[in-house]
Amino acid sequence: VSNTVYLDHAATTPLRREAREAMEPFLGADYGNPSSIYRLAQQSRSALDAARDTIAGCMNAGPSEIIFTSGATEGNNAAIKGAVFASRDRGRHIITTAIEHHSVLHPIEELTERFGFESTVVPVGPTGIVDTADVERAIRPDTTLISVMWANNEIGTIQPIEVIGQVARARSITMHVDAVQAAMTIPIDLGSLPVDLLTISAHKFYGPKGCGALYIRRGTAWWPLITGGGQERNRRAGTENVAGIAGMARAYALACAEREQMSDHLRNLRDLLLAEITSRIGGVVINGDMECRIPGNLNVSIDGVHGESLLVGLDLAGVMASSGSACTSGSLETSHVLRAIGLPDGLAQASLRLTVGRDNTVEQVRHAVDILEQLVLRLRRMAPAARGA
Amino acid sequence: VFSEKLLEHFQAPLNEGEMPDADAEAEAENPVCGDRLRLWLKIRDGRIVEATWKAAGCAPAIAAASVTSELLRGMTLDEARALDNDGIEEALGGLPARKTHVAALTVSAVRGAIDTYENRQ
Repeated sequence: VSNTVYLDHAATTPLRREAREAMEPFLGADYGNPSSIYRLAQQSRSALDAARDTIAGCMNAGPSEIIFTSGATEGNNAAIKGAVFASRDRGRHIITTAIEHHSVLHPIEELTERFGFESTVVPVGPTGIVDTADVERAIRPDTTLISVMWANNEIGTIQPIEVIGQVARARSITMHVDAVQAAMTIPIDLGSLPVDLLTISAHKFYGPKGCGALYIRRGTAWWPLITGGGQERNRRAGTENVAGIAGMARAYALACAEREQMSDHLRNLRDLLLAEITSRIGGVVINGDMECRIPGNLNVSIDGVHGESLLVGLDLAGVMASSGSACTSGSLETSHVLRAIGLPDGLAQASLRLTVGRDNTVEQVRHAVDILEQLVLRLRRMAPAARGA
Repeated sequence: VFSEKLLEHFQAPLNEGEMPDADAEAEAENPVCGDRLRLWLKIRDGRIVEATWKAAGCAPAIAAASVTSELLRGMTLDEARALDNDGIEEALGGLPARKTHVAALTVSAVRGAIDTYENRQ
């Protein structure tokens, strides 16, 4: 598979060698349950403690403020449900944005439909960046939680979470940030960031799948989502995924150490991708703001071609990417993010998300654009003339 | 999730192109998902001797047009009219349930073309 070009790092990243090495003892000889007391188990316990220290250190948080989860979906569910249930005597109103990940939007829908909460979903403009003033206007006396993502998973746009966090803090509202797409390239300093809950997921920064962390600021009103044993100081029951946690900590420490050079690498490749695509293919629209955006993300719509055809054609040529649309049983499912930024259905259907990663090269990017250019030409040539033309 | 056959037809579609001297033509469109298919037929003595097409849409829509243009060659008009979703699906080596609408689009173009031809006779 040396000819393949993986350009879908927002979906997942490959496990890096160092993370795999950090995991290996706990997939083998060091299998002890960290809650047991014999010496074998102490290896697991030490690994958990070290991982917690590492991750907390990288975020300038206290180790007791970090709990380990199964990933972004659990982290977001736990953050949101845990916060609003614990504050339900103070109010039942939640604020979020129209471009959040489904692991934020669906729990909030569930809370409103089944548990008597109310929500305001703040819209975004064509830039794909929420306006702090709109969030502020949505605040009610009974608002207990604001949940805003740091960087969007489809269009990569960076949200003003620091300012929104200040607004929330001034009103004693709990602030949650889904930092899953941001963690790789944006430094997180919880010493100064006015955020109470923050979610990360290991497989977005070259760690293993099925493992994440949730930051819970000391003193935050929050109840655990998963109850049972006393693990994670009673905040997340269940025997810990020791190997995954060890791998995540290693991957996150490396991501933090390499952040600047990695961001430059990703930005260079992404900008090359954009320049090549726009100079060689006509009718390309860029989705979302290009300035306030994480460096690895590009999202374009290519007029007149179906995103789904692009994905299949690219895959047959060894290039892996993603699209914001799928046509299913004759109905069109376009991404809620592309709809939220006001993209018409025709363009949403023609969307292509390309997210570069650490192993991509300039040659790979050029090769991918060659393939894309030929494919777009072929698909456009194949299309019937507009009726009446 | 797509069959090898479907991918082959998407990758190297057969009989794609306009037919200036066609005896029948029709266009079918799925207004919801935007799939569009235009089909041209050459007909001799009640048999389809050639079928060509142009299409825009998802990969299965393009593959369905290609495989159908092969199926149609040599068919009588009655046989062509009897071609249904299942026939196209089978020729494609199967279609995921969420994609059966592309077969329906193709059937509608085939029947539309035959209707215009017969109405003209």
